[in-house]
Amino acid sequence: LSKKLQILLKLFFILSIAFFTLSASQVLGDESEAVSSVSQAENSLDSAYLSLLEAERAGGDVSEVVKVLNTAIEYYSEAERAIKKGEYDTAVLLATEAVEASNVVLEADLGLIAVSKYVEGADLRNQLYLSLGAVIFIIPLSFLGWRGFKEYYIENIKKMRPEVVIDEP
Amino acid sequence: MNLDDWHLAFISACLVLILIICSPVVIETLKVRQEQFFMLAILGEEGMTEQYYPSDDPDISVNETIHWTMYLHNQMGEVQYIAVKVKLLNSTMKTPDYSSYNPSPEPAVYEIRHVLMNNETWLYPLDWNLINAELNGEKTSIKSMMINEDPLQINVESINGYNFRIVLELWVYDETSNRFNYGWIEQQGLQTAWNQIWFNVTRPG
Repeated sequence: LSKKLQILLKLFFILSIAFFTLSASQVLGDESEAVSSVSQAENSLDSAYLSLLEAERAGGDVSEVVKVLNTAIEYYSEAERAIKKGEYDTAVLLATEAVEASNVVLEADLGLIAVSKYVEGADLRNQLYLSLGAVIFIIPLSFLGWRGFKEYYIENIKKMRPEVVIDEP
Repeated sequence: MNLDDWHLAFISACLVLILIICSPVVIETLKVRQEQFFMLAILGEEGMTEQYYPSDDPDISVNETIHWTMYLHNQMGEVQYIAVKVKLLNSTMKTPDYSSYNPSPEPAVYEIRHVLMNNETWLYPLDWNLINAELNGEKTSIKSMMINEDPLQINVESINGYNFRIVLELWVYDETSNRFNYGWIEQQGLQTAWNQIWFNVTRPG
């Protein structure tokens, strides 16, 4: 009986160690997965911000995209706090939400950049052509106008007759 | 007016006309640069620079909730990604340095990130309270606190519970180094923004 008990105790001891090792590796695995997800979310946010900056510099209206990026940042911040609380599954979920929202920002920015560059380029080109056309039109017109005015002025001078004023003593 | 005077007036009128026609293109090409800056402030319960503590008493108790609002304004000329680091210090811990532009070396207990449009003012509620403060002889240690309902484990001590302070530092995302840096670079060089508010814990729980 004592031998059987000893074997049972040994078996229980081995099983306990195996159980604790498995649990610990599960927790550590969850933690490293959560940390990796949050780090990936942070990189996505950085890329989304840089593309947003580029879209704004290209002349795009980024006000709506900023709202989406701020939502992504909130998910990321909550994911970071979840890790501190040991809620690793929640952290992974929130980090995934942050990455998805960042991807929406990236796609929106790419569209904005393309449209803005086209519109801005076209606007500036149109304005430049319009100004050049107006200047090209004004210079010969003013030259002709000046010639006409000059002739009219000289004609008027020629038509003038000197008045003789007799000063009587 | 003789003919020469008319000639001069005619040329002047033409030049003014050309200048008016070309002005939109010139303005578009030479965009005027504004003065660039950030503004960071902590506002009290009523959203003013007063009433930072209940009954205006900086001696606070454990579990007494303090309602502040963080005020942040972006006038940098474009969208900015910022991080505000909240730090809990005592009177001997190093604060950010004005002359060397270095942040406080102490770790942040809480961090707030946000993207601000140009010319945007952002108000962020900052509600906090102490969860655990212990008295050990002459020293009072803050062991844990809560900011916006997030419990935080810390360990900052002060003699008789006097002169704790909450410091807010403004960090700005730098697109060249791809990380948050303390302060920002403008025409006059590196600039920083930080803020602190003192409090005492003379009745630890």
